Amino acid sequence: MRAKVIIPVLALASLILLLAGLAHFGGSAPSQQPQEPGMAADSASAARAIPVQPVFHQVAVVMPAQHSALPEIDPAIMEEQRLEAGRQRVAELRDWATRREPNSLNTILSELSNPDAGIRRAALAAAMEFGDRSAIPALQEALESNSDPQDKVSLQRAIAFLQLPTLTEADPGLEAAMPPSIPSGN
Amino acid sequence: MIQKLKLAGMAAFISAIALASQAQTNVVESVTFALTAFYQGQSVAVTNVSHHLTNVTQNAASVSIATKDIIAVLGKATANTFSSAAQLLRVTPILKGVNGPTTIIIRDASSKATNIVDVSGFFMVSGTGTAVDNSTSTNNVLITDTSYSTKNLSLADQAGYPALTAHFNLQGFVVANLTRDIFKDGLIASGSSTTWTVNGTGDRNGVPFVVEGNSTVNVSAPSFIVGPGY
Repeated sequence: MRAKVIIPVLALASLILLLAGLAHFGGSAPSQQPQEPGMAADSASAARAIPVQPVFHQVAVVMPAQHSALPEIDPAIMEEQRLEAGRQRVAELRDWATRREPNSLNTILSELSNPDAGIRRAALAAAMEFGDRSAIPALQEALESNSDPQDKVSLQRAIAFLQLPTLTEADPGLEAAMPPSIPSGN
Repeated sequence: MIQKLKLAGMAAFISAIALASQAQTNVVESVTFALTAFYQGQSVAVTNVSHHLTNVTQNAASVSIATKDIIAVLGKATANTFSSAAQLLRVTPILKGVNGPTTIIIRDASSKATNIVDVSGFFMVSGTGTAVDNSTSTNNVLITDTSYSTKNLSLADQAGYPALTAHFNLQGFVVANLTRDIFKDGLIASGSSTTWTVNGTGDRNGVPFVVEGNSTVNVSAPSFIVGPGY
């Protein structure tokens, strides 16, 4: 009976010690590791080790340092990645606007000057959807700095829209049905 | 033996839950409105007795109608107090690759318990004619599609609920852009956006107005919920 208890306890303790040992050796920071002579960061001909976040084991990704040795990246793939990043940003802007998260208005307004026209348009629509009049000065600033005629018309419409009294404000009964907007934190 | 039966029962129960959660996927899209309503404001009459002239000035007043205003109108009719974080969403269940009936809901996730109210009955959408498509397909699977059409959209009273404080009947030009990704057994719209440029008529507490603006339906993050739920 006693052996039945002692053996599993000993086995468990050994396992814990083994795991602790593995964590200790695998978790040491890359900077603490002595750098190998052939891994000098400034040497153009040397391979470069890129340290990654230490978790339980260290991973070194070795890349050729010479630019000419890099494989050519397909421009079509790069364009698709750029478009995908733009689509994701547009989706984020829409989501922030419909959720009216208090601190997201500044981020929305910062995208009014994005070089991507699609993101600019999404930011403007998001500012309108957010429905916070504290956005008007930023919209006016964007109107003054923007040279795109289409953007200017859209910005003017957005400012005019936000300056109007809302349906909820015009109907006192609705004010009670919906609390005022969460302060944007601006 | 009893222990084995218990284990088998638990395994069967967990499998059933897993199967049920994989059987349905909901595409959740946000619906927005940015409308401007113009209604008749006050009339001012000024009479100049000596010249026998009466000048009458009529003012057109306007209000903005944004999504949160429509949510407030629906909240009043359904006896719900929604927070400013409430969203108007269109939910389309996809079951084994087939789209189920679409519902319109208000999801208010601001409080501890998420409040979900089905407001589908207050909205009516209908096509008015031909749709024109500009699409690309690969191996008979539609990948991208831009569809042009005209549609009607109404916000109207629903039987069993108090009258809404605002109504409208809109018609307009709809541009629907879809980029689709194949997801398991169904087609999932990814990065889709639908923009309606609308105009129409309506009323606010019985005061008639004319209205113009736009409405959008967009897949936004998180776009798709695997399993039942919003």
